[in-house]
Parts: sequence; structure tokens; C-alpha cells
Amino acid sequence: MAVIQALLVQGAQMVLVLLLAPLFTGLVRKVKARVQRRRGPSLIQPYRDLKRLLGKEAVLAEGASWLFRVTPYVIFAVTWVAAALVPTFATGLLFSWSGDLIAIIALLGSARFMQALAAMDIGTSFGGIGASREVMIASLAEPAMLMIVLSVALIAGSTQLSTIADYMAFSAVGLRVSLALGLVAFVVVALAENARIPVDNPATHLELTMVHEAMVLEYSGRHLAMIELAASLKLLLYVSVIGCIFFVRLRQPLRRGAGRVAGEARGGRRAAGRVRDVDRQDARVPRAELPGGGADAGPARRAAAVRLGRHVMMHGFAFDVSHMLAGGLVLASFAMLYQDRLYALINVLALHAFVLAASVAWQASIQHAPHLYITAAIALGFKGIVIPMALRRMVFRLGIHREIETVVGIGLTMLAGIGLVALSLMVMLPVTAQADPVAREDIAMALSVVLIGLLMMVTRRNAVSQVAGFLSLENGVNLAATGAQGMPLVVEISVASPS
Amino acid sequence: MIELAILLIPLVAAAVLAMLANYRLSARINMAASFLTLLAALALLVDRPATGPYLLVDDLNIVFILLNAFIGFTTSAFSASYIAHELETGRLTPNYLRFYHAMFQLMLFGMNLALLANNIGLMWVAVELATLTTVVMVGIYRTHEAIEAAWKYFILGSVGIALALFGTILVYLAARPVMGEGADAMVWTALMTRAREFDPALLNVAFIFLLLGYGTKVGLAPMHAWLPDAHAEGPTPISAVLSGLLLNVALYALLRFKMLLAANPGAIAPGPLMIALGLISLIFASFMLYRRRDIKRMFAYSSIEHMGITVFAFGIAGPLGNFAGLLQMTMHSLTKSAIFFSVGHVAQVKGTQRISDIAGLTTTHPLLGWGLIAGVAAIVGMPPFGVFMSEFLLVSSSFAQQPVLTVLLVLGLLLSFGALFLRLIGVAFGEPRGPVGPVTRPTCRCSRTSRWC
Repeated sequence: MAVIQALLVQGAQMVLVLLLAPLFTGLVRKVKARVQRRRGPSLIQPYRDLKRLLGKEAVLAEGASWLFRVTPYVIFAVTWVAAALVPTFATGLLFSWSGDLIAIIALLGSARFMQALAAMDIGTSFGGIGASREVMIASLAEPAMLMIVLSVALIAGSTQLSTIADYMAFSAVGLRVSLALGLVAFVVVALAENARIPVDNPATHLELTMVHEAMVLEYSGRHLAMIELAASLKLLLYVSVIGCIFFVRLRQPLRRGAGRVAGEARGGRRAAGRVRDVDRQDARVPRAELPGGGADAGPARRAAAVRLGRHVMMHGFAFDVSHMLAGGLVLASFAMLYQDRLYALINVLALHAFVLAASVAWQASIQHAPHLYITAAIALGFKGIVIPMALRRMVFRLGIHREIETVVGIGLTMLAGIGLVALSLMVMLPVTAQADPVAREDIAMALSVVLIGLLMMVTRRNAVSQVAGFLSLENGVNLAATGAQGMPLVVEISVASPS
Repeated sequence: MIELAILLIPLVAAAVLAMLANYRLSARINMAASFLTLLAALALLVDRPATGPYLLVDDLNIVFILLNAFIGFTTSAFSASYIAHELETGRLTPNYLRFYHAMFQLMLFGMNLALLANNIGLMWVAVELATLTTVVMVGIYRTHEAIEAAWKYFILGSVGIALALFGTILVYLAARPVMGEGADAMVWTALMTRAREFDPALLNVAFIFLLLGYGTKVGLAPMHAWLPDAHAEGPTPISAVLSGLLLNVALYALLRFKMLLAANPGAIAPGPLMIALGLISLIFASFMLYRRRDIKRMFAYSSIEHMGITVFAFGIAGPLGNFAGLLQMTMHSLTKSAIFFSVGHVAQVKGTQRISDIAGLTTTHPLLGWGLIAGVAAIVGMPPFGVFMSEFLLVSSSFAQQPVLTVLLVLGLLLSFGALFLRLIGVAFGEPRGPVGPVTRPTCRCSRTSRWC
């Protein structure tokens, strides 16, 4: 009986997704039209389009093989399966065990692969252009997507979308910087994947600027209908994944009883999670009446849970921000490594100093060490403003501002930089296992910055860029000095001020 | 009080000298201040001050401090005659001299502070101060080569010092769980007493950074590139101070951290690392000696070689090894500064630093020529001189522990012996070349003061 119920719920999810996807596309079009001060088509226009396309004859291009004919159905099926795995309307679905984020990405990836194949199959030039552009965009978007999935999985402890949604909804995650960054990245990836405006334009009529549309130019009739429906499904899928991971608090998905039964059948882990969830629930709403089956939630315990939650949250947040700033410094180092024009390099150097100053100021605030603000101010003033200005003047007076420095292969340098970051993490993290986490992260990141600075000094010939490398190296040492709490002021100041 | 005097005399002198325009008076004040510092350092022998939270005098650094003060004094005496000649030839202007004197005392202050500091952070700051002051002094001639040398020195020295700071921070991190937060976890004496409780893995990583960082300042082989340039292009008194003192200060810092590491049973033994770096420096510098054309550059490589020997000796450790290292370092400082004094005069007399343009010194300037010969004989380790004693001690003590490495050591010693004498013979004997007139100012009076030590 329970299994049948679960099957029903799962089926309802699949049908709902399929039915609602064109509506969502219509909504997006409507909003877009309104923003452009047009009236726009009606919300159900996509349904009408689909109906019209389904009724039309499918015209095949000359030389189209079976691949061309099969592809629309494959794309539709694969996308539908992927959409069915996302807990759009309910968590704990029957098939949610297979709803792994990586599996979903792989499904969408195979849909894209089929589409590119079909576009090349007919042998028109636009098909080829579209396919190559699509694959290039995908090669940038997919690694980013995997990074996001991994960083979310690190927090939730799983790549199962259902588990992640559960975790996000019912446990004290708190403010997480990595999640915020992940959200931004995810939105960018979603824009790229759904052929939206900065990357592609679904409504374009100019073949030269098309990406996705160029690939489906030759499709018509029911084939086109399948592809359109798959595109709508994909859009809905991305939006609901964003909802599942990032906005689950606002949405509070239904927890199906059937899901619970299935979950308990799978083992004790879920059951334990449920007990924890109940605890969390009453921790969040202490005044509300306890759930009937709620365990021994006495007031003292509730208060303790609240306190614990808040503590974890605050510590997590402080740690996250310092982690982000330190990571930002490493990123800025890579940006410096990448620049081959002197002015751009100097700008990035200033940015580097700004990130450092922000990081030091943050440390000052979480360590309650007001003297660190002085260090931050010095770093900001000297390294962020005065030195870059002086360097710009120097570059201008030497007349080398138009020169492009010959760097020994930027790609190679960047690879070496990545290797150095890996090296410093591998050296530092095991060694500092006992240090407190903030200092630990800072030291490891600082070593990366130091090593990248050294690399930069080694690979550049120009004196100005050597100075830039050296200053970034010093910024790294400064980061380490502030991360190690309680260093005497004199040391910190003499690091912060350019020697 | 006395240790404060050692610090305050150079600091006050630097402030006074920065304001004085008269270079003759400045030179005298420079000498007087250095002499007073020497007296204060001597007083340390009689009355050793108690250890404070920031300053420390113990058996190890008292040797360094005395040596520092003594060579500071002899160099100030030498520079008085040297700069007069530089003024006449127009290489320096009185304005630069004012700067020069102030910087000289500031540098002595930095080095004394580094030696006296009882705090790893303070010591680092002091070494950095000494580095920066010598950077501007190396570039004081404002020629293209001098600026380039100063630049190279600045960049490499700063990178080294930055790595050393990273190491210092790591030591602090290792100490913090045991000693608590704040400046207490950076005090040498406190660190030494509880070193065995520190996290050994962290100490290991820290020592690698310190070895690379301070090793750059010592001039050990893979990181030595700044040293020959800085020695060759700066004023000769600065070359003498660089070789005789600054290298020692960096070595002293390294030794302190080595002691810290040795006090922790779980940490790696620092000895083999130091032995390896020392041997590399020694053999590398010995080969490089054969290809030098600039006389000051040649002696700069000789400094690398001797630093290699000293580091090797401290790496061998044990009572004999440590004593040999200390003796070697002292003798090298004394002899090398004396050699630089006479080389400075030779360069002034001949108007060039190119070895091929200098010949027959013993016939044209007998005192200078024979003085140089004596100096070189001392530095290569000929019997009556101190370097012979220390090298003999080192070879005999290390042979018992590391016979193979000792063979390499002796090979390096012989190589450098051959190279230096090969060049010396060309310079001191043969048909005189270049100007034959007397030196414009009385020479050698001061350079002899330290030769026979």
C-alpha cells in the first residue's frame, strides 16, 4: 500500500512538472515583456505553441539520419527524468535515492551532447556553429556547476538532492558565505545553460548570434515541440534546484509521509535525521505547541539547543567570511599571475591590498583586537592607494604602459600556481591540525599567496611586475601574521608598511 | 642598563649625524660613537645584565655583540679615510655623506638590536631594519650598477626576510597552544624552556622557512645571488660590514632557531639540512672563485665560502663543531673586514676593481701589497692565523662523524685556496700596472688594527 502511495506521489511529481513547465516559460516571457514595457503573450501561449507544433507535419532536412529523428525524443526523455528527480514539490520521493546532483548534471549533459550531435548531423553551417558554441559554453559552465555541487555537498554531507534539501530545510545551517557565492555562481550557470540573455538569446532572429537556436533551426513539427518542451523543463528544473538548495527555508517543501516510510525502510540514518529534525523544529519555534510525537523536549534542553545553534551559526559565519577573504586573496594572486599588461597588473595589486585590508579588519573584529585595525588601515592606505599610484606614475614616466610583458606562457604559469596552492594546502593543513580553524585556513592560504608571489617574481622580467609580485608576497605574510592571533603590534605594522 | 647603552648610542648618534652637515666632524662622531658602543659591549663581559622580556645577553650572543661592536669601530675608522678620498674623486657629495653616516649608525643599531633581542618578532624587525639600511648604502654611488645591485639586494633580501617572517609566525603558532596568546609566546628564554611541548610538525615547517629566509641573508648557495653584487658595487666600508657583520647577524638568528628545534625531541634534526646547505655553498663558491674578474666580487664569493664552512660546522654541532663554527665566524669577520679595508685602498690607488688591471702591488705599494698577502694567507687558512685554527678544528672534529663529507669539505677548502692564491699572485707580484703613486691619504693604519687578531 505504502509503495503504491509512494509511486503515486512520484508520478504526480512527474506529471506536475511536465504540465507546469510551459506555464513557467510563459511566465518568464510575460515578465520579460512587461519589463520591456510590452504587453507580452498570454501566460498559456507556450501550451498553444506546443499544440500547434504537435499538429504540424515534421519536415526533415536532406541528409538527416536517424540520429536527427531520434534526438528530440531522447532530449525530452532525459530532461524529463532529470526534472522528475528534483524534489520540486515534495522531498523524500520514491526515486529520490537516484536523485543525485551529479546524476542530474550528467543527464543534462547527455541531452546537450545529443543535441550537438544532431546539429552537426544535418551538415548545415549554422548547425556546426551552434554546436561548437554550445560545447564551448558547456565546457565553462559544467566545471563551475560541479564546483557548486561539491561545495554544497561539503556542507550537507551528501550529493543527494533530496538529502540536501532536507538538510537545508531542517538543520541550523546558518549564514554560509560559500552558499552565497554558490548561489551567485549557480544563477550564472543557470543563465548559461538555459540560453538566457548575457550568454545567448532565446528570442533572437539573427543566426550569427544564435547558440541554442542555431542548433534547432532545422527542426519542425513534433520534433520542435519535444525540444521546446525539454527546454521549458530544463528551465523549471534549474529554478527548482536553486529553490531546493538555497531558498528552501522560504519554501518549506512538503514532506510526504510515504517518503518517510521509504526513508525509514532504508535505514537508521534517516530516522536519526528525523529525530534531529524534530529537535530543530522546536528549537526554531520554541513557543509553538510541540508536535505530538515530539520527544523529550524540555524547556532547558530547548534553550540549550537554541544557544548551540546560534553559537554554531556565529562561529560558522565568522569562519566563513575570513575563509572567503583569504580565498579572495588567493584569487587576486591568480588574477595578478594572469595579467600581462602593467596597468591592469597594478590595478589588481591594489585590489589585492583591498582584499587584504578587508581580511585584516575582519580579523580585528572577530578577534576583538583593535590594534589590527591600524594594520588594516596601513595596508589599505599604503598598499592599496599610495604604492599603486606611485607605480602607475613610474610606468607612465618610463613609457612602458603600452608594453605587454612576455610572460613564460600564462597557461603554464597558472598551472604552476595551482600546483603551488595544492602544495601549500598539503603542507600546511596536516601540520596545523591543532591550531584553531581560522588561523589554520589563514596560514594555508597565506602560504599559497606567498608562493604565488614568488612564482610571479621568478617568471616576470619587468621590475614593476617584480615589485608587484613582491608586494603580493608580503600581503600573504601579512595575512599569516594576522591569522596567528596575538602577534605584537610592532611586527604587524612593519609587515603592513611596505619595507 | 649596559645593553640599553649598546642600543641607544648608535640610535642617538644616527639622529645627530643626520643633522650634521660637516663631514669631517661626522666622521669623528661616527668613530666616537662606535668606540663608545665597543666600550659598552666590553662592559658586558664584566657585568652581565639580567634577562628582560625584550633584551637578552647570554653566552652565545655576547660573542656576536663584541664582534659587532669591534668591527663597527674599525670600519668607522677605515671609512673616515676612505670617504675623504671618495669626496676628492667626486664619487660622493657631502649630502650623501651625511646620509651615509646616519645610515651607518642606524645599521649598527639594527644589528645590535637583532643580537640583543629576546623576542623572535623583535629580532625579525631588527634584521629587516639592518637590511633596509644596507640596501640604501649599497646604492649610494647612484651609478647604474650600484642601483642594480641595490635593487637585487633589496628584492632578494626582502623575499628572504618575508619567508623568515612566515617561519617566525609558524613558530609563534606552534608556541601559542602551550604558552598562551600574546608577546609571551615570542620570548626566546620562555620558548627554550618549553620547546619540548611544541608541535614538532609545525616546528619543522617553520624551520624550513627560517632556513630559506635567514639563509638568504647569510648568503647560502642557492640564495646567494644578491651577495656578490652588493659587495662589489657598494662603498668598501659597507662591503666590510656586510661581510663581517650582517651575515653573522642572520646566522645568529638561524642558530637561535636551530637551538629551539634541537630542544624539541619530535622535530627533525636541523643539522643535516645545515650541513648540506653549507657544503653546497662552500663548493659552489670555491668553483666560482676561479672565474672572477672583480677583486671585491672575488672576496664576496670568499665570504659565501666561509659562511658555508661556518654553517657546516654548526650543522656538525657537538661542542667541538660549535666551537669551530663560532671561531671560524669570528676569524672570518675580522680577517675579511681587514681584507676589504686593504682592497678598498687598492681600488682607490689603482682607480679600478678589475683584477687584470692590478699587478705588482708589492713593488709599488709594499705595505699595502704585503698587507693584502697576509690577509689572503689568513683567509685561506694558512697556519699562523686564526682561520687555520678553526678550520683545523672543524676538519678534525667532523672527520670522526662524517668522513665522506669531510673529504668534500677539504676539497672545497683546497679549491678556494688555489683560486685565491692564483689571483693574489697576479695582483701582488709581477710587472706593476696602473698608477704607481702613493695613496692620497694615509692608509693601512686602521686596516692593521684587526688583522692580527
